[in-house]
Formats: sequence, C-alpha cells, structure tokens
Amino acid sequence: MIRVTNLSKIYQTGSIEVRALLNISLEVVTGEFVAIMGPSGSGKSTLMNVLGCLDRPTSGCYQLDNLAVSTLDDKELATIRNRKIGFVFQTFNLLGRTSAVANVEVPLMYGGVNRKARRQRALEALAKVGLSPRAFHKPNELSGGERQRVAIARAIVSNPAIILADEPTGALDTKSGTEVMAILEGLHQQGLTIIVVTHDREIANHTQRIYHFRDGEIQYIEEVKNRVIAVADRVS
Amino acid sequence: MGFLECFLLAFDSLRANKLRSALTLLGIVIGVSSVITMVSIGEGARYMVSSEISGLGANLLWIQADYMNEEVKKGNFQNLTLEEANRMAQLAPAVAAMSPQLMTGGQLRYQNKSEDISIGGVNEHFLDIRAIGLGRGRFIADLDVDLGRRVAVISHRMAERLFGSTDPIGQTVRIRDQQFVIIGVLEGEKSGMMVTDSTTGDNYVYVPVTVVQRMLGHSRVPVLFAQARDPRVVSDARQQLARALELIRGPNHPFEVQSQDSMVEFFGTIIAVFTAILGGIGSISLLVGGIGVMNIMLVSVTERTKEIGIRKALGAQKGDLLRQFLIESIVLCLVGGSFGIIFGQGGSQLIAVFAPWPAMISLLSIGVAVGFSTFVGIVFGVYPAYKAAQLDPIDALRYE
Ligand SMILES: Nc1ncnc2c1ncn2[C@@H]1O[C@H](COP(=O)(O)OP(=O)(O)OP(=O)(O)O)[C@@H](O)[C@H]1O
Ligand SMILES: [Mg+2]
Repeated sequence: MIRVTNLSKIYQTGSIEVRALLNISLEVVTGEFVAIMGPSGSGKSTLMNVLGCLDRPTSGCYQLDNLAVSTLDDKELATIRNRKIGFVFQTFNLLGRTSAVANVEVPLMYGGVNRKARRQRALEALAKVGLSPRAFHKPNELSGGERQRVAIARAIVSNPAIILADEPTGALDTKSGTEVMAILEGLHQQGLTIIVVTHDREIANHTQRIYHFRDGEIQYIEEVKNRVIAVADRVS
Repeated sequence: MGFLECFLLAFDSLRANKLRSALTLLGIVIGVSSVITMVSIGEGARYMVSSEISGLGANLLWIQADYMNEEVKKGNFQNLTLEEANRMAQLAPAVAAMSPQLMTGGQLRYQNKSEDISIGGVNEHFLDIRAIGLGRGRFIADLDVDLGRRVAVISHRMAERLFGSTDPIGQTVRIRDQQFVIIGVLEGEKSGMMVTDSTTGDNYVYVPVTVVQRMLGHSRVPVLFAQARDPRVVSDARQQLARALELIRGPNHPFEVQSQDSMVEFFGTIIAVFTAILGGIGSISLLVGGIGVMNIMLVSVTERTKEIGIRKALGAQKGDLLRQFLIESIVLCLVGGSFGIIFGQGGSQLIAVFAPWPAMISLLSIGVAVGFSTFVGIVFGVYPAYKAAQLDPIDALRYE
C-alpha cells in the first residue's frame, strides 16, 4: 500500500521557486494498477521519484506499507529500492557495457544473492518478458522495445511488491508499447502494485484508475470504465 | 557485494578504457620500479662495502690518526713509534698479533725493466692479519725483521710483468738502488679499494719493517694492524687498545682504534642515508603516479555519474560504490606495482652491469613496493570513491 499525505516538493533554483508537487494526497492499495497523466512539467516524474525512494519530498508524509519513508536514512532507502520497488524508466537506463542478463543481475548483486542463483533468477526474469534468446546481447544490440523489456526484467527480478514505470512506453512505437503493457498486465494479475506515468490515453486505459495532474496538483481522479486488457502475442 | 565481485567489476571497467588505464598504470609502474631500483642500488652498495670490509682481514683492528681531529687536520701530531706499538701489544691481551705498516715509495728495477712501487714495511704477522694468501715462496719472517734483511714479497701481477715465466723466487731486484731478494709472491689479487689502504694493490712490495725504517730514518707508523684472538673479543681488543693509547699518549691522543664492525656500522649509516634519499626520489615518482591515478578516477567518476545513478536506483549502498571505485584504483595500482616490480628488477640488473656491485633485490623492497602501491591506490582512490558514493541518486540519474 502506498499512501502520501500533503506531499510537496519545491525546488529552489536561485531566487526562483518551482513547486513541482503541491500538497498531493493519494492512496494506492496493494494490487492496484493505476496511471498518472498530465501535461509536461506537472510533477509526474517528481512524484514517481519520491515514491521510488530516489528523492525526498520537501514536506508531507509518505507511507509505504507500514514504513514511514520520510524517517528512513539513506541506507534503508537503498534497501527499499533494492527489495520492494522495481523502477522502469522512459530511457531504459541499462548499463551499456554489460549483457542483458548481467544488467538484470545488478539488483540481485546488491541484494547479496550469490552468483549462481543470480544468473538463474536473471534468466528466469528475462524469460518472463520473452527475451531468453537475447539474454547475452548488449543493450546496443537490442531494439528499444527489447531494451525496455530488459529493464522490466531487471525491475521484477528481486520480486518487488511495487512497479513504478515513468513513461515506459514513451520511447517506443505502439506495438512495442502494447507488449510492455501486456507484461505489466501480467504482473498486475500476479498481484503487484503498478503505477504508470503516461501521456498516452490508450496506455492509461489499460489501468484501473487515472490521476490527472496539473501544476503539481491532482486535478481529478478518473476510474477507468472499459479497461483494455493487453494480450501479448510474442510474450509468454 | 563481495570483494571478488568488486575486483571483477574493477577489471571490467579498466578494460573498457584500455589505453587510459595503461597510461595511468605507467605512472605507477615508473614509481614502483624506481623505488625498487633505487633501494637495490643502496642495498648493493651496502653489500659491496660490507664484503670489502670483511675481506680486509680476520678479526681485524687498526689504529691510525683520527682524521676528524683538529690537531690531525693541522698536522700537529706524531705517529706512533714502533716501540709504542710494541708496548700497546703488551697492554692488550685480547690481541693475538700486530703488524705495523710503514709506507714509502720508490722505483724497482730488474734488468731493463722498471716499476714505480709503493713499499710497505711490515712484520711476519701481516699476511695473517690481513688474510692475504701466499702464492709461492715464503713471507717475511721474524728473523728478516730482526736482522733487517733486504728481502721482498711482490704481487702476482708484478711477478708476471717482471719475470714472465721464470721463477721469481731468489731473483735479485734493485729497490731504491739497493739489492733485494724476492722471497715470495702473493696469491691472485684482491680488489682492495678500501679507504684505509690499497695495501694489496699490484704495485705493492712488502719488505721487513726495519728496512723501511732505515730508508726513512724514522719509525713512525701511520697504520698499525692488529688481530683479535677470536671474533668474540674484537670489542674487548678495541677497548684494550684504546686504553693502551691513553696510557701511552695521554687522554687527548689523536688516534682512533677501528674494527671491521665499526667500519661496517659507519658506512652502513652513510649508505642508509644514501638509500633513503634514493628511495625518496623514487617515492616522488610514485607520488606523481598516485596523483595520476586520482585524476583518472575523478574523471571516471564524473564520466560514470549516470552509471552510479542507475546502480543507486537499483539499490546499491554507499559502501558498495565506495568499495567499487576504491578497489578499481587499488587494482590499477597493484597491476602497475606488479609491472613495476618486473621493471625494477630489470633496472637493478642493468645497473649491476655497470656498477661494481651485484643487483640486490630484497623481498623487503618488493613487499614495500606492493604495500606502497596499494597504499597509494587507497590514498588517491578514496576521495574519488567517496565522491561517487555521496552522489544523490536522482541527481546522478539526471546527469547527462
Ligand atoms: N532538479 C530540479 N531542479 C529544479 N526544478 C526541477 C527539477 N526537477 C524538476 N524540476 C521542475 O519541476 C517541475 C516538475 O517536473 P517533472 O519532471 O516532475 O515533470 P513531469 O510531469 O514529469 O514532466 P514530463 O511529462 O515532461 O516528464 C518542472 O517544472 C521542472 O522544471
Ligand atoms: Mg517526467
């Protein structure tokens, strides 16, 4: 369960104050699949970074299950990022020098899993996103869609309860985007909590609820009526 | 994340920038190899000096004017007489034998050949005290000294020059226009590049001390050699001789008694300073190499800010990143250190070809080099690694 109350993030750049988030309150229950939409600069990424424990809010509370995140130190935040949350970025953020499987292993390495178990679990995660044949390719040998699937494999490899995806389909074409959504749908069905930021209404329609952001505030919340369930053709 | 993991990561990222890593390594290679070479020069010199000194004789002591003494510097002193020398021998029970060495120069003629020679007036104990071997014939005997017989012992080389294949023993030569009979030839030769003398140089001719005394018209002895009864009483002998000097010449006498130990110690101190200076010069290049490592690590941290951000986003702790970058710089330094050891050995061997001492590569200097390069890796790697660890995850991720 994710619950934020009166969350604000204010950037002070010289004399200019940017209110990226202003008194946001929202609650996402375990197992929900929700979307965040809004114009550029409305604070979506800022919120995702706070939810992903990558950034700290200026004020407000963030409760993750039974943890008051604001009270945790850097070490504990790193552990949460490692175990509890899987982050998917718009630009993939893979390590360029190493193979897909080595990329997927990284969270396990920091989680203290031994080499053998790590390799096996990374290969399993790649299989879940349909990338077994590409396991030993380097990121620059993969298509954008494939890279994003590697990134998803990396996000799920340590069995997190939450997936945070900031415009995961932003850099992909419709077909690859649908594949990504199909994978997220599968994870949702396994009971993971998923939050997706998107500019694309079609993508948002795959989720159960949409938070519409504007100028750092939630403008309105929309329950999705006719949810689209993506079915992957290539993905198992 | 385990250490093995860190090492593999470090090798990976060093391999990714081969040329750059190699150039950085070079600094450490030069530093470590110069430390090893420099220390080996010092060690070689120490070895050479101590073997020269121990080759001077067995349980050897010698008495001569103290050239640091003000009166001696001005020349206001009189050397010991033979009578004083004999009295000293009686006052020092730990001394087994003594031999004076009176020195003069002259010309030696044989048939139409002539040589400029140094004439050493010694007694029958000299050969033993100085551990010089006799090749053929006999050495000066006590009777030769007592009777002042004009007999001479020459070096192996001089014998070859003068007599070629004829037997020199029994031949008559003219020294300072007096007839001398050759009674013995010394064995081989010693390098004899020691301070106090070049007594065993090949233009030395030994004759009875009484003969030189007559040539000079006085019996002042510049150097007096003594032999302790056995190695354990060398310092007793030294004390006894010093006390004897005080008795004979009063407490302010300008002489000093030296032994091989005191000599080795004296030169050891000089050489230690010399080694420290050389090592220091080597260390400066290691320091420069270390700064190069730090520079490259800082560049590397900046270049890989995004990577650091990704790692942090995936749950890397500060300690993980600190270790990753620290081990990277240590690996850099250790690999550099290993090559440095190889080149350092090569350098020492090369110098040994030209220098009069063998290449002395001590395990200690290798250990010090490895320890030092690890230390350099840590010292110069810690700041870049700390910088990497302290990066804010979101700032690092946003870095372009
Ligand atoms: N590090 C920062 N320093 C100053 N201002 C920032 C910083 N990061 C974000 N902002 C500002 O905060 C606001 C919200 O940014 P955010 O990245 O959350 O927008 P977004 O909704 O994700 O936009 P987009 O759809 O373009 O990704 C923007 O006005 C941005 O300029
Ligand atoms: Mg954004």
